[in-house]
Amino acid sequence: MEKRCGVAGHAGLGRAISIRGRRMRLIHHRWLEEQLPAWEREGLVTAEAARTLRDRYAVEPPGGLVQMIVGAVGAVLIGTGLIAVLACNWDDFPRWVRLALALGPLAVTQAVSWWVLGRGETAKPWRREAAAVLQTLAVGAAMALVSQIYNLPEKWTDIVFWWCVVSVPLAWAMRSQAVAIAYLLGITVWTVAESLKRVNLHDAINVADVRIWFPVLLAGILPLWPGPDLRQRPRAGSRLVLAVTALVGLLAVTAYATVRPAFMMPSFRLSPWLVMLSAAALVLFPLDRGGIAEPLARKPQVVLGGLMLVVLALMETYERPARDLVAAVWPSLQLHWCWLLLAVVAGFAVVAFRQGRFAVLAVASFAILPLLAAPLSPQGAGGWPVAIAYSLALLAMAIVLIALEFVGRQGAARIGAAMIMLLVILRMADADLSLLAKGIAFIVIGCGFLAFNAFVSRRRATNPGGSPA
Amino acid sequence: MRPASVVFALAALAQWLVPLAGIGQYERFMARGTVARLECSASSSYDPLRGRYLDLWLAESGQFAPRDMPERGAVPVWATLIAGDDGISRIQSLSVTPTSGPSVIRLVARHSGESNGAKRISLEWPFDRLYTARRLTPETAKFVAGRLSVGRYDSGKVALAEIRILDGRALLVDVLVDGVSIRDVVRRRGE
Repeated sequence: MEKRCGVAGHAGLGRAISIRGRRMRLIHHRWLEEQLPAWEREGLVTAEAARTLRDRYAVEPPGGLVQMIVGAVGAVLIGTGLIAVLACNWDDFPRWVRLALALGPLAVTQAVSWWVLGRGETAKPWRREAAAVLQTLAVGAAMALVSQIYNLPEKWTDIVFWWCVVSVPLAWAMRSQAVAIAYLLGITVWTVAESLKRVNLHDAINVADVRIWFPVLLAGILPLWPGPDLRQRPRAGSRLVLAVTALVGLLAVTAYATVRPAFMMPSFRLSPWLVMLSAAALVLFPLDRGGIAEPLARKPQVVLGGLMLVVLALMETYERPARDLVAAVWPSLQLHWCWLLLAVVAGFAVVAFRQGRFAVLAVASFAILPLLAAPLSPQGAGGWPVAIAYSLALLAMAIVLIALEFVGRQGAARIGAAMIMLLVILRMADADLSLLAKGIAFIVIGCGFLAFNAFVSRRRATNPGGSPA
Repeated sequence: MRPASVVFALAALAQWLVPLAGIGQYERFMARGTVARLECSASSSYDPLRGRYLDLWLAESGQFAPRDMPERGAVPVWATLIAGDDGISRIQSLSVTPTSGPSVIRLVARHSGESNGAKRISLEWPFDRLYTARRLTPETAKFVAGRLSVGRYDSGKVALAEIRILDGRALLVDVLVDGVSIRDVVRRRGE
């Protein structure tokens, strides 16, 4: 087509023909899509062949963030509007009307979802999303309204729990990303709320054991990601929510597990070591080859966990936090949760080592340092040995991250340089130097960092690639 | 039937079961539960999922600790209620060992201090709120506060939480002021 336009030398006509050609293709694809169900019924094509034809001659992209957002936002607006309209007259309705208004939308949205599901592969993604989100909202509304109408003695956390449990199958069956995100947010809120109950009341009566429930609920997303064929991957936004859910949930479970008599005197404190282990588990989460090859920006679990570990490690370069960290090691080892985290980190570390993910191993090693440093710290030395060890470890890791870049691996030279700069700034801020000397030192460090950044950029431009770390 | 349809059908069924189980629970309490009325006070509050409600405080919440109650933490206790001549139920006995009976409720007890050398506990009830839904006008809110606030006793008016007890569990049915449902009071004043 383009060649013909070139011959004609008429760019406008070429564009028009190109658009017409796309439109014709779309019409043919749509015709094929309409014919396929009948062909399948009549046995002209197998289900497998029909799927292949649908993939090859797709009417529209099979997903798309915009479609998902449009479907989800539309559904949320309709649901919220309905709730607002009903709420302003709610008290004037007799009980049976209120009950009908509570359960009616559930029946209607279920029927709509069933119809959309019946369309199979031909259902447009935004329709699937909208139907699934509306049904999820209807489920929550039905449970909350029935609880209100009958004055049931449920806590709001009970409603959130059951809402999540009965809604997540919609994410599996209708492959709804929005419902999956809502589910992840819901289980995070529930886990944090249950942990806070335990932390605030220091007892376990009427509080769910989130050490068991959070992993079980998090596993509820497995039928969607990676799915039965182990090939489904969440989109970038969903990955971020998944990573945040895992991190916040693990921290909440850590808080729950930490509430024991040994920790209650003089007051509750979250063990910084267990926080580090949680972050390390997230950083080391096993990936397949495709996942490893992806850029860092598409691995939010590595970014979030790594950032948390580096920030904590920088804090531990000070004596007081380092002393508290060492003091937390032995009480933490009394907890089953600590041993479970250690086992998970060790297992993930072995996998990461075999895959050659040395950069994440270097970051995760910060979490193991207290375990090694605690027995080696001399009596009465306070936190200084550990603080110095963390300074050296940060420096070593920064050098590793820079060196990986120069030995042909996908390192993080800029992050390494930034860490060295941060370390120097922290130590300079401590140092007993004049303001003039500190000012000059900061200027020199800043110039050095910018020069290194420019050097790395130029090097990457001339020598792209590198094996993943 | 495709696997996705089976999953959807089961999920749809579960989505009905959860609210219907709540309704079934209510109907069971109403049909077979023992009625008890406890003196209470309340303040207006808000739940993001279920709207406006009255946050109850029961006069029977402060008690002396049972003899064999452990020193620390929260402990489940079983309270036996008995109705007085005035129709108001009060706690007759508290036990840390499970007991049964038509007017026995399982509660949670926590130590709250000492009074004249005796250890005192505060009780956590399985119900603590009555949903009212209606948006109160300032005048109605003031009226309700006057009838339900802790300092209302001088007026001689008593607010009562009407509950149903079944198998050690309890369900709050209504809050009565001068024998009239607080919902009716609010509705009448709002008209």
